[in-house]
Amino acid sequence: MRPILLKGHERSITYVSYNYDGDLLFTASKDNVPTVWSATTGERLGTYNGHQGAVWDCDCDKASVRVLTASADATCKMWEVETGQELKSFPHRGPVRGVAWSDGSHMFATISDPFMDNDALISIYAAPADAAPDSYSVTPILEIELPRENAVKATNIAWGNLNKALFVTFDDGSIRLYNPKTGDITDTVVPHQKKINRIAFNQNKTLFITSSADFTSKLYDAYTLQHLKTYKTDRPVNDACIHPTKEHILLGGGQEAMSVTTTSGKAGKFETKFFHLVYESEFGIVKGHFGPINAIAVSPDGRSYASGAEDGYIRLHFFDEDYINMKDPVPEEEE
Amino acid sequence: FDFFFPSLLIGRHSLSPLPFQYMTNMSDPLEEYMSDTELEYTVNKPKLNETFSNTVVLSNLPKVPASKVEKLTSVLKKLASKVGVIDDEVPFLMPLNEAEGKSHGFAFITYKESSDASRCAEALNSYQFDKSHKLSVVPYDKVRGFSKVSDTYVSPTPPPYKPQPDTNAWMRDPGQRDAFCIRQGHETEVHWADGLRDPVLDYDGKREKEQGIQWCSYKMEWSSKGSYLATIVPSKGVIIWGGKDYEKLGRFGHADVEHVSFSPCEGFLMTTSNKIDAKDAVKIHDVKTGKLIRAFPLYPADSFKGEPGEERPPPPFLWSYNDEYIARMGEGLISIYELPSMKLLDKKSLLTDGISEFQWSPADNILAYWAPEKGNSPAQVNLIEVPSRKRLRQKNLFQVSKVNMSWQDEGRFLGCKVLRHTKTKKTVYNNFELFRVHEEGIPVEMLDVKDAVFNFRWEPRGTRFAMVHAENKSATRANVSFYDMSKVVKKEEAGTKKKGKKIIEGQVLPELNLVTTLNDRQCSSLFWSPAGSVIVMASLGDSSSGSLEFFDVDQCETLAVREHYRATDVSWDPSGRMMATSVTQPLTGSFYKFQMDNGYMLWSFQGKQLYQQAYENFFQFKWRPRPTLLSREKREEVVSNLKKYEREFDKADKERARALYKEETREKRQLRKAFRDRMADLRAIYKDERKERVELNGYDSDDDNNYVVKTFETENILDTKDTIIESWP
Repeated sequence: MRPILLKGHERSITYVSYNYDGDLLFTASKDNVPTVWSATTGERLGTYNGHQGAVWDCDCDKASVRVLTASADATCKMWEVETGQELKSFPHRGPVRGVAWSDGSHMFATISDPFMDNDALISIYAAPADAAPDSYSVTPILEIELPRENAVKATNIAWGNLNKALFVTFDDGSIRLYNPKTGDITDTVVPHQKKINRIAFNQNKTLFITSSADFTSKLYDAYTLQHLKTYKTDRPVNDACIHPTKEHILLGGGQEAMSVTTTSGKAGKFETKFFHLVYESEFGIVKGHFGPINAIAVSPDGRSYASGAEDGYIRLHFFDEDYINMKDPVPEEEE
Repeated sequence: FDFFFPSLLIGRHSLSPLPFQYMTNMSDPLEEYMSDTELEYTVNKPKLNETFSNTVVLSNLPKVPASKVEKLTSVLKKLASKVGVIDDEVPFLMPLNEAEGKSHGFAFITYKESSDASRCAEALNSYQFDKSHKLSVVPYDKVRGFSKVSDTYVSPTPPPYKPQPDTNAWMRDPGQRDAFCIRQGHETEVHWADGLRDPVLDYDGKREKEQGIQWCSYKMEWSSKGSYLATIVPSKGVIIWGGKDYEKLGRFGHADVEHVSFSPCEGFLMTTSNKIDAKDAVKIHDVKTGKLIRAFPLYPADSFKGEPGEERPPPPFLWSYNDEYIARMGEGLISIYELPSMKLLDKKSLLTDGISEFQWSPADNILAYWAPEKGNSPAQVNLIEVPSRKRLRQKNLFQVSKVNMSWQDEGRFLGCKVLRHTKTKKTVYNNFELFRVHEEGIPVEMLDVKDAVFNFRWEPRGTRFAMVHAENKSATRANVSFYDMSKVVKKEEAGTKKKGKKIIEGQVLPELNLVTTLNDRQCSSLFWSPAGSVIVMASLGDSSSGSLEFFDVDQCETLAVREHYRATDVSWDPSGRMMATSVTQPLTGSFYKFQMDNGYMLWSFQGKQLYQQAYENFFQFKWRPRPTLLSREKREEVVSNLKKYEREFDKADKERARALYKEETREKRQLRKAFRDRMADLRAIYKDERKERVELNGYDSDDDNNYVVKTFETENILDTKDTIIESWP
């Protein structure tokens, strides 16, 4: 498996994601310039210029028309995917940490960090696909304040199935579910001891996987919020995703950036790890990065995956045939 | 009349009833202070002391005639008042036997404080009063208890026999596996390993966890033969565990215990604390009874004069090989104590006239020690037989800076690495003095080495040794040399004469010879396999890479060169099948530089990596020691019949692997089925939500009819080239 090395960002990668169709790859980086790449050739198709700060998150709508980016410059911007034109800027009162389109792409939610006297906020904006972007209101239809109790910070946001709930992860290892209509907390789960770096759903949004600094990833049933599996590693996990067609999990991480200089690249644990979804056992690694992997995404057809790291590179891998044809280690039928 | 007290006054005049007059006169202005409730009238009289805890009974006194009673009384009072203040209100009683006209031989003394009485019972008990009278002092309360004792003796019924768990059960493991114990995070786990499959957990303190306690929160240590696992409970003592289920088999109290060591036959246990001033910093316990036998301070008086905080040598105690003695080095002497009595052998220490280090032979009661140069007398290496104290061998050495002594594990050889200096003390050089201890007269051979020698190791059960040496002390790359204490006569040498005797091919001569030297290696430490022949040369420590070279000395070939980055420890399993390397961090101290690398790896003896495990915090890795049960002859017999055993074991291995595979796949299949059933349920829910989804998206994204499939064919001309195939003139 020979990856395509996507060189284009000048600073560490914060997020990578495929669009719904799987032909585009969006990347966010601390260099202020979100970028779109061809997911099949690795060609750089364009950049979205305008942010003044590190970009923490991005999300493309289902029709691949509008892409949202969340930035530390306290704005969330909406761009036209094809032209790179800025459609609308949504000002916030603090750095925007995460952004997510709702199912149906009629509205989106952001989380912003506390700044000065302003508390952290979850903001939900209306952005119907059939209305002109100019007409979108920059005032959210709902704001949920996250009081600064115990100095807990939100890290990631995602919409649950059919917009029934907003999943927000926190750096104390908990996930809280908010009702997107009323703003009430409907449920809380605490899967981890330490910071949750990311939450990712499978395609049907029936399962989700968390990645945490406590060296583990955990798989949950998204309906019942029941814990299903735990994947243990020897490093902080920054991102994990569920393979869409195989019973596999991909994990990325590595030692914290601050301790990178004290160990050799060989021992840095910057590999992508492959785990079996059911048996929780590790069965493979993909090396290449020389900094901790911050983001990982598998294409919707399951034939390729991309990883972005602290080293500023995105590596786009196309699985070999023998991986795609790989059988479960346990034969289907009893011998 | 109504009788009541003003509540304010009651505290001051509690016992004196107030005159009626006073009451009536004063009642008006004090009315609001008066309480209407009736008061409980209690008298604060002193409590009657119903115990006799202040009184002790002295017995075993001389029986004296009435005339001498007074004198004895004053002597006893004087003696007793040294311990505490005697209560003079209670008379000193010494009853007389009217019939004999003599005292009964006992007396009662009462102290003012009961604490003095109990101190008296402790201090004066067994006091040698005069030549033939040893006092017995018992608290009076206890004596009263004796009156209740029935006069007829009833022998106590022994408690029902509780069989002790079999501490050797682990050795009968059907899979011939070896065990190891790790300390990781808050966990302490014993695992089985056989070099074929991944380690299997045996016990992780599950029973204790259910009770909400940790079975080991600090250090652990195996006993010398692997029967017990000792765990240190900080500030309390040591617990030993054993048997199939790791039951608690003993507890040894020792506050501030830091270190534990078992005697070679596991009969005794030494616990050590770091308290330099404590009189009982070193405690010797009997493992079976759990009793403390004797306690010592860390170092004999004045023998260690280090500054506080300076790194201290370990306490100078060493066990003899068969649990018969424990020896302790002092200033110019070795004190040998007999076990289990812990009495000084022949009531005197062994005077050595200067001593720097001593070692017991691992197979005989022979002590080796060396003494540095002193005035005009040379430095010496001595071999002393115990208990006869016979000097078996003495070797004088000159211009000695330091001697390192090392025994071969069967006690056949003693190697002394001698660091010597020239007269000016400007340059140092090494030489080896090699004692053949089991040979007549203990011949000593010398071996000069010009290089700096870092490390020196005997081959277990063998005649060879290896050493790491380099041109100078700071060299990063070193050479490793192997020497053999015996030499097999080769064909071309056969027939020649040596010391007047004809030698034949294949004959083994006691002659030191160089086997081979490996040049330019990254190596700081040497680890022989317990089975011999294979050695691992490793570079360990902070600045090293953790390179490992597996070398077969019989064949003189390198088996593999591997690396365990940042490895701090290397240890062989007792059978020599596997080797473990680990990156550990100290148990104390919160931050460790290479924490990311914490964990261990298992290797086969050929250098194949078998297993790897990483932990957030990794502290200890210890193989369970295994006693050698086979004699040398038996072992040789096994080696010569290896083919036969190999077949048997191979077959058993295959069967086990097969069974294990079946078991594992069955479990995994169950897991997979459970998971797939759940996924099917989830898919069903997802399907039920179709209507809502279509409403939200405006179309059904899961319906393939909503997609238009177009097929394109593109032709890319990569290159064109005009070639003239044939040219016409």
